[in-house]
Amino acid sequence: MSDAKKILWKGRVPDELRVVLSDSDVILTQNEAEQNQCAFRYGIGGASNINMGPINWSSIKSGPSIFFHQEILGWEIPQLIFKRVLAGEGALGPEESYKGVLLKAGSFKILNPGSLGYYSDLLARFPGNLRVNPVNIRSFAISLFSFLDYCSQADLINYPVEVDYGISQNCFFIQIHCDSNELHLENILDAAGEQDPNNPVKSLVKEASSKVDLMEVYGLKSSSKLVFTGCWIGNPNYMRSQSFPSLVVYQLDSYKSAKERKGRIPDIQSVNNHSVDEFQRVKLAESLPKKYKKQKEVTIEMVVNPVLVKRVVEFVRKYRPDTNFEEFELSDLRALYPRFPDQNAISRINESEEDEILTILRDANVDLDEQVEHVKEQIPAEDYLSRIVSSLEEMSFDDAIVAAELDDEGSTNEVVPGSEEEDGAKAQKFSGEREDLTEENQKVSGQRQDLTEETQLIPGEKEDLTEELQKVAGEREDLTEESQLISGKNDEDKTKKIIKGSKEEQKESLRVIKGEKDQVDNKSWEVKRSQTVERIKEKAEELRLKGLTNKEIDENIKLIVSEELGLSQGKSESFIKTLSDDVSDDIVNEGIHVINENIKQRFRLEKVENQLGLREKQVAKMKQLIEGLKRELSQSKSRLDEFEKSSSALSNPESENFNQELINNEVAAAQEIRASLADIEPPASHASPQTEDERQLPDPSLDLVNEEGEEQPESKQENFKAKNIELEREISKLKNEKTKLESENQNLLRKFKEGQEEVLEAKSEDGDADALKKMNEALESQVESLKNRLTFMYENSKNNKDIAISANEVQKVIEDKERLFKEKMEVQEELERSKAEVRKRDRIIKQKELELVQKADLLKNKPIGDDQDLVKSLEKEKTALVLKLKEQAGELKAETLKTKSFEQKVKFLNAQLQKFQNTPKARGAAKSAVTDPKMAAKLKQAEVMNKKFKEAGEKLQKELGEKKTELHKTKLENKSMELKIKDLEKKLLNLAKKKAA
Amino acid sequence: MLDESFLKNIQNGDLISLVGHSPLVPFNLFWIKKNGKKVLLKSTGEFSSRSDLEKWLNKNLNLESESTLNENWIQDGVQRLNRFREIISDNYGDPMALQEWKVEWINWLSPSLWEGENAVSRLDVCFLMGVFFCDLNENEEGLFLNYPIELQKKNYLMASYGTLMATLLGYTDESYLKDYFKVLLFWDAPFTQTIWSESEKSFLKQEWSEPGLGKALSSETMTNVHRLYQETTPKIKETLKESIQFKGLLKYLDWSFESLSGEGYPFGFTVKELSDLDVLNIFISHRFSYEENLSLEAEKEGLKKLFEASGEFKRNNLSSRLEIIVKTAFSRALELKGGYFEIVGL
Repeated sequence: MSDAKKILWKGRVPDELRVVLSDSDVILTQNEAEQNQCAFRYGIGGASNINMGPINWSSIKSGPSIFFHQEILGWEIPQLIFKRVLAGEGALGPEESYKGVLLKAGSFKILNPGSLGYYSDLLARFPGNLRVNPVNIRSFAISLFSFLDYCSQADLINYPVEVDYGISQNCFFIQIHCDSNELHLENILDAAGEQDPNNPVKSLVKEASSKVDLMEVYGLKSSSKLVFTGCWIGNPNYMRSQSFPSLVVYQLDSYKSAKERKGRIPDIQSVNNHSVDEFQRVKLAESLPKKYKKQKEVTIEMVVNPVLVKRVVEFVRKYRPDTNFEEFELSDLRALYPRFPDQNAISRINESEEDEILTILRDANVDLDEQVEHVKEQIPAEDYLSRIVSSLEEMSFDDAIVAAELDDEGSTNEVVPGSEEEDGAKAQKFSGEREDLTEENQKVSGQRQDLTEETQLIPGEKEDLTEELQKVAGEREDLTEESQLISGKNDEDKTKKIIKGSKEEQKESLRVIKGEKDQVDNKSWEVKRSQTVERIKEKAEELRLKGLTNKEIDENIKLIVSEELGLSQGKSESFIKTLSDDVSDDIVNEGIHVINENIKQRFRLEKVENQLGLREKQVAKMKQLIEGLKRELSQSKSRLDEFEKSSSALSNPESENFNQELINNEVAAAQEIRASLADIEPPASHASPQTEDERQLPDPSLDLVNEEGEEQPESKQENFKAKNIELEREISKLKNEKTKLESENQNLLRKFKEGQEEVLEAKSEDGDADALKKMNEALESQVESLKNRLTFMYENSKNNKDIAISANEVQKVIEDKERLFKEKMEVQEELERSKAEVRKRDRIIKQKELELVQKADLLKNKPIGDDQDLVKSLEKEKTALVLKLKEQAGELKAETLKTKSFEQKVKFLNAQLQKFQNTPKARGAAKSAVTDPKMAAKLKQAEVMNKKFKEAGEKLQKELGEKKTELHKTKLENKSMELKIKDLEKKLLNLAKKKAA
Repeated sequence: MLDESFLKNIQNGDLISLVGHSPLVPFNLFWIKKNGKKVLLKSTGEFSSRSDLEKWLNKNLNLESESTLNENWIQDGVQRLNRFREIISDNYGDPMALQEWKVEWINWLSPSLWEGENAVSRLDVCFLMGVFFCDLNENEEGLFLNYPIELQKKNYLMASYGTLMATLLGYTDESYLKDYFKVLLFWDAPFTQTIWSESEKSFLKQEWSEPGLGKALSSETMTNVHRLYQETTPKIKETLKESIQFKGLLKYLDWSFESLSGEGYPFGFTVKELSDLDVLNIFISHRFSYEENLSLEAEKEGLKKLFEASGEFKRNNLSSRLEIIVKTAFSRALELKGGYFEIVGL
């Protein structure tokens, strides 16, 4: 942590700062003399690095810097941060640094840049109730994560990026740290600039700093860590609008100071072989320099043409003599390309060569001459000569001027085309001159020293040599003036006139004026050129025979050129050098070009091969998958076959496991149950007709749920596959059982239908019962009248003491009868209701079974990987059905009890009826009624009715009995279903145990 | 390298022979013959080649003790790690799915690492982590085999437990963990040299468990330490650099003598300036000593003991650090599943 123990503070110390530093060792001093002992200084002008003002990134040069608003010091986390900065207290772990104030904390590691958004969202959600804007948190996090990702691409930091975060009572903080590889302060500052759409890295750190209330950036040298901390105040009393973001930067080496440190590496580092030899200022940019890109981005290393590299280096150095090439970038180099004389050469420059040029420019000690000479010497002399000749043959006048450095671009003088008006002044264009042309300087092109000599270069025609030629390049009027140059032959005896200036003195300087670029120039040049070429050709054989090196050839040609073209030694050397470089460049480039093309081809081939390799791997993988699936399918098929065999063996009388008694019992029970539970509506009335598959329903109890009802493991591996196979096995087994039961069911249905008819008859009897009711009512009225009559009769025949039947007693009898009848009806209704309930439940069970069949079908057709959910749902279904069955069993029980109670009631009522019928009164009533024929008839009628009621009651009782049996059968069926379920559960358990084993 | 087919062989009861990758040679292995007999190795360090083992098998000698693998646990672990691999193989991986996996991984792992009936042995941990994360090429394997056998054992233990604990700390990236495993295998490179005298060796062994005594070393010894680091570590780094993606991990090869108290060598780190993985490295390197033995009994040592054994962890509040880190995963579990997952002992 920071070593700061003394702070120089000129001026009033804010109270908040005093509070922060109160329990630390930091000394606040006002003595400027102690400046050098203080890492932090305030109020001393330019030397201050503490500012109580908004962040100014551009003012941060080196060393620690603090920009803060004093209000930030009123909150707990910033207080601790400042303590860490100023007093060196704290630790990397926030649970240590913010001990005592930390309420909740979290941590995660980022190992790749693929999910930065996810992590920033995670952080944005964390503060909870603290009033911190999640947008700011997210922006901060994304900006910094992106910056660090760029740094990792440039190998300045290493993943993982570790993130700690937490809240105190009023604050939320995020701390991001990672391993740093020679990251310097300048790298941070490079990302603290203004927004630039072409370079998004440029503003990332600045953006981050604008989104927090306090940002801290520091490095840990010992463990090579880079740490960012962002802190927000979540208390509404913090007036953010009246404050500004604060920043603390410290313990980060600048590039310069690291370089200075280079010579003073501690032993520890040398022991551990830290690469401290190369300090490179790594610039972060959106388009990173090639060498900083990750190895995944394969780059082609092309062969470098040293001749071209040298030419360009010399050109750049000449063109920009005062440039500090340490800062020279590729863009700067490319800006000079249009000015390079050989545009053909520059157009074919490749990236490797550009890199090489930049390297050499930055390092003045590198000398390419030797290398170039070596390369040139590799060129066969014959080729070299012939190329020199052909190059010379194609050389234009302008090129010649340039080659001989007669048209210096560095010159302040302009080449005057030679027109009259342009030549009005004494200032004229003189190629290759730097002197002030306002004077009457007459210089021979490139030959200052030759001013006193006689021979000059004059463009002209060969045939003109026989004449006295007076030509001045580009200036007709000069023909009459002194300065004229005549192209002359080598032969000095011939007409070689030296036309000096106005004085016609041979020793005076001659003036070559490069005039208009007209035919005169070119023609003259062509003549001279061809002469030179001829001479070289003549000499070529001699040179070849001598076996000279290319350098020696150059020397020889230089002489020829010097003589023919009339150039001074320096200029001819420059001329030959240019020519030689050009030729060598072309030759070398031709060779390199092929190599580079091969490299490119190879690179492309490798790329394609890699892609092919990947494809092949993918295909192999797919094949493996397919084979795996095929194997599993065949396995499951074979297991299905096995199961079918075993299940058929079970039902095969010859099989060992054959249990006829068990099968018979089950079949009989199934038959009875089916008969009793058959719906009034035929099975065809279900929503959809049952298909063959639907009929072969598996028992829902086959669902693979263990005892605790836990879900199966989520893995899609073999466990699940094996279970699936078992499930299918069970399904097919029950399929068979179901088929059997269905066939029995159909038989039972037939029987049921017969029984149904009986029920219908009973219903029709019920219909008769309604009619009987009506009749009963009619009879009641009649009985009423009879009653009245009897009363009357009683009243009138008081002497008939034997009869002594009161109308009330008759009434009572009738009432009793009515009551009994009513009760019977009620009982009947109850029975019907319970019947309906049972039928309803049965319908539901059948529906569920249908659904299971459908699901089992889906299970067969689905690929293995999709069965997970299905099995789960099947398991759930099974448990639900099991529960329902249990419920229904319970309800059945209740219904049975009810039925029993009704039975008893009916019995009781019947007994009462019987009792009543056997009583003397009733007999008496019956007897008395005999005396009156009408009464007797009525009574008889009543008796008949009574009999009918009785019969109806008996029938109802019978029906009741039948219903009872039905219930009983239902109960039996339920029991057998339960037994089956239990069996299946046992089997499941066994399977699970086997698997576990 | 070992893979799931190895485990299938165990299940099917086939005779397993060494698959030719020696990192497992120092450790106890067992074979199940088809007739149900178990054949067990005697102890670690005695066999260093396949032919030696086969010779021993032919002799059918009696064993001093036994050790077995918990196949179900290992297979379960491999399946979970395969799931982990599936999640992160999709480009950078689905962070939500990874988070869920982390929760389940911790939930599954923790009971087996604590004491109790469900605890697993060191052998199981080494086997599981080795199967998944040990990935040496030919050169690296040759380099590792040149280590003294004791160092191979110790480093394999370190690598296994270190990688395991790294997953608990949240370093869930397969490439990273593989690189980390590899780096830990090559810990203590200077001790592959044989120039040390016996007294120096014993001192250095002591230094492992009680770092800070380095200051008391003679200047001659210190010079030798310097020299050995310069001679050995760079070579190993160069070899590993070719295959390691996260080259920052190579720095750990220089940390053999570091401690968390600030008295270590050469950097003298304190826990205040170290990341979680840094701390884990130093801790794990001290936990397993040079003469470490994979116990032939079914040693049920768990993470809890590992932490408790280190006073440094307690002194520097690392247990609370671990709690924060692991509970971060659990807080997510609260959001995802609405439930609370308990780590036994945490």
